[in-house]
Amino acid sequence: MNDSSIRAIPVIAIAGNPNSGKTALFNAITGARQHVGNWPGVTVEKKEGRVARGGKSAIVVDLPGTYGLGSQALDETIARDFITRERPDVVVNVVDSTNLERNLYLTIQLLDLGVPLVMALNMFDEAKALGLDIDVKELSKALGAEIVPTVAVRSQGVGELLDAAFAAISTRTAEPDSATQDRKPQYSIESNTSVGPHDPAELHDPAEPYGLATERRYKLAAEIVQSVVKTAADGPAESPSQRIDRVVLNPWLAYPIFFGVVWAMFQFTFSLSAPVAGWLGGAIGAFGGWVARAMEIAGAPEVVVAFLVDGIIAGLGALLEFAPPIFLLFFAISFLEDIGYMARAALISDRLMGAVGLHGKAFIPMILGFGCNVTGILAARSLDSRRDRLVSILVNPLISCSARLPVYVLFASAFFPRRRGLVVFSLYALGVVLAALVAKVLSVFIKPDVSSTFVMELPPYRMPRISGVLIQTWERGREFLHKAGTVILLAVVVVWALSNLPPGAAPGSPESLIGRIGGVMAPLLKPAGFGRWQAAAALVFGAIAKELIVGTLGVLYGSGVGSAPGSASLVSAIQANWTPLSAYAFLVMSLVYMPCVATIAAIRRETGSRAWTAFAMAYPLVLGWTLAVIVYQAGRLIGLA
Amino acid sequence: MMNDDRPTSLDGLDLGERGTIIRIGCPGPLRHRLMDMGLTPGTEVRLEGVAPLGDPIIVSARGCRLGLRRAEAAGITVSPWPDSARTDRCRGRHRRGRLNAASRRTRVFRAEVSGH
Repeated sequence: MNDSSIRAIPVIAIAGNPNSGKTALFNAITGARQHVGNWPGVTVEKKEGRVARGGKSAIVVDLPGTYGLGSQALDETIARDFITRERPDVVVNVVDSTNLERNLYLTIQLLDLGVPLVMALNMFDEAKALGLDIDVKELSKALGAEIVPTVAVRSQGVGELLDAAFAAISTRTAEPDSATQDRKPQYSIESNTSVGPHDPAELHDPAEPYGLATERRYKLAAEIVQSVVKTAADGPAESPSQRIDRVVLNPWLAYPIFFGVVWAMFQFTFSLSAPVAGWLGGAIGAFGGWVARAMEIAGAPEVVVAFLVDGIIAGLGALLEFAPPIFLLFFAISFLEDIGYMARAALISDRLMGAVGLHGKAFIPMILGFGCNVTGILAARSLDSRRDRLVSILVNPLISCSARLPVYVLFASAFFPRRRGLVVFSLYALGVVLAALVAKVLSVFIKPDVSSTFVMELPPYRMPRISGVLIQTWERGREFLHKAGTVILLAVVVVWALSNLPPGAAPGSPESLIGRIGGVMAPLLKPAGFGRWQAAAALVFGAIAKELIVGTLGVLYGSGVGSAPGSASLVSAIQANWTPLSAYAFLVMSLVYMPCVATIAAIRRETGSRAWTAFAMAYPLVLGWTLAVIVYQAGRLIGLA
Repeated sequence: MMNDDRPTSLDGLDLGERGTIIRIGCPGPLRHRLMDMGLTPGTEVRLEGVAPLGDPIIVSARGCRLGLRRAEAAGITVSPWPDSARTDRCRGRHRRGRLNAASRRTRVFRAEVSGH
C-alpha cells in the first residue's frame, strides 16, 4: 500500500470530464515541465508535471478525462484506482461551468470516495457569457469543498486554485488520521437519506445497485444546480454549435466538408513540410561532406569515414527529414481535436468504417496513413477498444503512404506514359481495398475486448488556443522522434553494413552482402515476373524506407543515388529489364510487401507485442507476393507480356 | 400514428421530438457508460439529428449532445412528449426507412412495445 503520509512530495491529481478544460488547466499549472508516459500496463497516456508555489512544491498527475468513476471502462478504472490506491493528497476537480449538472456527477462521486477536493470552476467566463449566474459560495457550501472559478486557457484563477490546493494539502498533513480514513462526504444537501458507502476501494455499495447510485447522484447534482445557478433570460433556442452542426452534419454537405478538411490537412502538412524537409536533407548532406573532408584531413581510415558519413549521419538525416511532416500533422490533428471537429468526423464515418468492422474513430489513422503510416499508427491511440486499435494498426501499412509515390511515378512514366495518373490511382485504390478487406477478416478473428459501442459526446465548438495545440504537438512529436529514432538509425546502419561488406566488394555490387541476398531472393520473385537480383535488392532496401527502392535501382543500374524518378538512364535501364506487365506486378509488390522500418518500430511500440509485429511484417509479404504473382500470371494468360 | 405517445426506443423518436427516459435496457458496461453520461431514467432527451447515412443519431440530454448508434439507442426506452416533434414526421419516417440490421431490430422492439 502506498501511504501518502510517507511521501516526500505531495501529489495533486487533476480529475474531470472530457472537454472540461482539464488539459488546459494541467498545461497552465505545469507549463513545459511535464512528462508523458503510459499508465502501468496500458497504453493510455499518463501525464505528470511539477509545480512550485510559495516555497512548496508538488507533483501534478493528470487523470484520464472521465464522466464517472464507477464503471469498468479503462479510463474510469485508471482514475478510480489512482485515487483509491495512490491516494493523492488533494484532487483538483475541473468542472465545466457551462455544463454544471453533468460535471457535478463526477464531483459527487469523488466526494463519496471521501477524497480531499478542490474544485476548479472552469470556463467561468463562458458561463457568464451564456447568462449563467453561479453562486460560488452557495455551491461551495452545498458541496463542502473549496471552489475557485478559473479560465484555464487564459491561466486565470490558476494561482488561487493552487493556493487552495496547497492549503488543502497542509490541513491534510496536519491531521493525517482523518485524511486517510472515515471521511464522509461533506455535502450538505442530500436528496436521499442513504448516503453512499465510504470504503474508498469500493465506490458503490453492493446493496445499492449502480443504476440507483447513479440516479441518486444525478438527482443531487440537478438539485444543487437548481439552487445555485440562476439562468438569465432564456438563451437562444439554438446554440452556435448547433447551428454549425446544421451545416457540418448536413446530409449533403457532411462528406464534402469532411473530405475538404482532410485535403486541407494534407496540404498543410505536406506542402509546408516539403521545403523544410528538403532543406534539412541538404543541410545534413553538406554536414556529412564537411565531416568527411575534416576526417580525411585528420587521416581517419576510409571505412570509419564511410560508416560515420554514409551510415550514422545519413541515418540521422533520414530521421530529421521525417520530423517536419510529423510535427505538422500532429499540429493539424491537435487543432482539429481542440476545435471539436474530430468528434463530428468520427460520427459521420462510423457507418463507413462499420462496414469493415471498425469504429468511426478509426478513420483518423486510415486517412493519416496516406501521408505516413507511422503517424497513422500513432493516431490509432485515439481508439478505445484494443481490438479496433490493433486492427487499425495492422492494416495501416496497406494504405499507400507518400514515400511510395516516387516508385509509382518512376515505373508509370517508364511504361505507361499516357496512363500515368490512372496507374498511380489504381495502386492507391488497391491499397484502400486491401486495407478494408484485411480489416474485415481480422475483425472476424480478433475477439472484441469490449463490445464495440459508439457513444460520443459532441462537445461545443471552441476556438483552440495555439499555445495548447503547440504543447500537444510537441509532446506527441517528441515522443515519436525519441522512440522511432533509435530504430531507424539502427536500420540504416545495418543496411550500410550489408551493402559495404565483405571488405573488398564494391558497395552495392553482386558480390556485396546485399547483392548476394538479392541473388538468393531473386528466384522467389521469378513467378511475379521480376526475378532479378537488382529488383530483389531494391525491395530489401525498400523495407528500410520505401523511397529507397528508387534510390537503390539508381545505384544498381549505375545512374547514381540522387537520380530523379524521370532520369533518362534509369528509365531506359528499367525499360530494358521490365515489361509493362512485370512492372505493374512490381508496383503491386512495392505497395504491399512490407512496412518500412519506422512503421515496424511504431507497430512494435503501439501494440506492445512481438507476435503482432511479426504478423504485421509477414502477412503483407505473403499478400504482396501472391498478388504480384496473380497479376503477372493472369496477365500472361490473357496475352499481356 | 395514434400510438406515437406510447413508450418507444430512443431511436424511434422523430427528428426534434422530446421524450422522458423510462428505462436503460442496454447490457452492463454500456448501461453504466450511458448513465454516467447523464442518461438516467427520468431524464429529458431530444432527438437532435441523424448522421448522413442514417446512423448514428444525435440526442441531447442535460445540456449535452451525444452521438450514439441506433443499436445502442434501441436499448433505451423513452416516453415521447405529445406533439414535441418540431419537424414533420414524414422526414423522420423517411430516415427510418433506410434500415440496417440494427434499426430493424429496433422496429421489432417497437412493435413489441406498442403491441402491433
